[in-house]
Amino acid sequence: MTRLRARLLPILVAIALVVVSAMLVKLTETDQGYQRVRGAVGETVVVNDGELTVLSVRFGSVLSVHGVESDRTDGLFAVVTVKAAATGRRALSLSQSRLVAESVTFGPFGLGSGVTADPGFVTTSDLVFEVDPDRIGGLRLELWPLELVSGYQQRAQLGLGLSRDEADRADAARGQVVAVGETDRRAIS
Amino acid sequence: MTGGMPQAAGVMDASAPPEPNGSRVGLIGRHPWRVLIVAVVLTIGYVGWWAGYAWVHYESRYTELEPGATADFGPATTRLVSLTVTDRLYGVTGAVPAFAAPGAQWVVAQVEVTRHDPDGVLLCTRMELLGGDRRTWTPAYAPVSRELPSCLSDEGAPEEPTVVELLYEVPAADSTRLVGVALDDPASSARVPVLTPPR
Repeated sequence: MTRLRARLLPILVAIALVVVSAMLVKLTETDQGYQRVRGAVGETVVVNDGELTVLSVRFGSVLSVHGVESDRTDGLFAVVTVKAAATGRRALSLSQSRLVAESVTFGPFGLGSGVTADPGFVTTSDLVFEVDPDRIGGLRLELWPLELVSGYQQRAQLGLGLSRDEADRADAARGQVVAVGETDRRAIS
Repeated sequence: MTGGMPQAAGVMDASAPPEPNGSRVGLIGRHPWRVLIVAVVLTIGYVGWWAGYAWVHYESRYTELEPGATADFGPATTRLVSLTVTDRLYGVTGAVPAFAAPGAQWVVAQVEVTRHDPDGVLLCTRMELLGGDRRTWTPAYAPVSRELPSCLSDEGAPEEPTVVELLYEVPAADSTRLVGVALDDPASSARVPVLTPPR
């Protein structure tokens, strides 16, 4: 009986270890497969190889690029100004972006959908999204790197701080022109 | 069954004589905890080796070559001819120079390339400028038309040394601590050779 117990014990221990491991994996894994880095307008967050700050968000239904009207929409254009500083050894590259509201997600409008900065540089650029003015409550900007091989990455989720009143104000921007600035690039001082 | 054939050690044998206390056990039965310990040690060793390898290779490791030394890179042999820092770049035709971004400077690297394989692709974008704190910069597009070619990605006569010009834009604070041009082959996990300019 003692030898039988001694023979079974390692097997039971192995099974228990597998069960515990599976439970830990299940408990620690997230549905998204990435680490959230949260922030808000005006707040600098550290992500990957640098720092990220949303400076402002502006709305309008007429898009002006380099002083020339380029597009119109029945909804609204949201122009989000983002500062990206590559403070580490490698470039900061968050080339993928989207705006996420409470019930809907808006993809980038046109090209130039993300932010990049070479090591030691800071860039300030405008990201453009076309949004539904009736569904922009709780709007947040998400930025993440483009991956050829999928890995566990950080993803910046920056709340744009649009309360219901502010969403109403955005609605008041219908018909207004919103300008898209050129990307500013300079060395970190 | 008892014809004198030897039994392999550790193999359960139904005809083997019983243990002194009456029960028959195999290798696992005799040393259950040793087997478990060996399995745990092997698992930890494998995970440790994997984690160590990943840690070492997460960032590039560099080997600084002698000043003016050559190094093979893909289909060619390369040598750094000069490394120059400047505030502005002049083109071959216009008199208006291209200034670096505020707080930055241009670094002009002239590299001698000797192709050996005319069909091989030279990865010029992987010829990165290495800074003093291991920061790296990839070659920039020339803002003005320059006299020397920017790369020999798919041209250049075999065995004929040709000088190409790689441009980098770096913060002025980093431009005084440059090391050289790193030949970072993405297909290799070996140390990255770094070309340094001749003295």
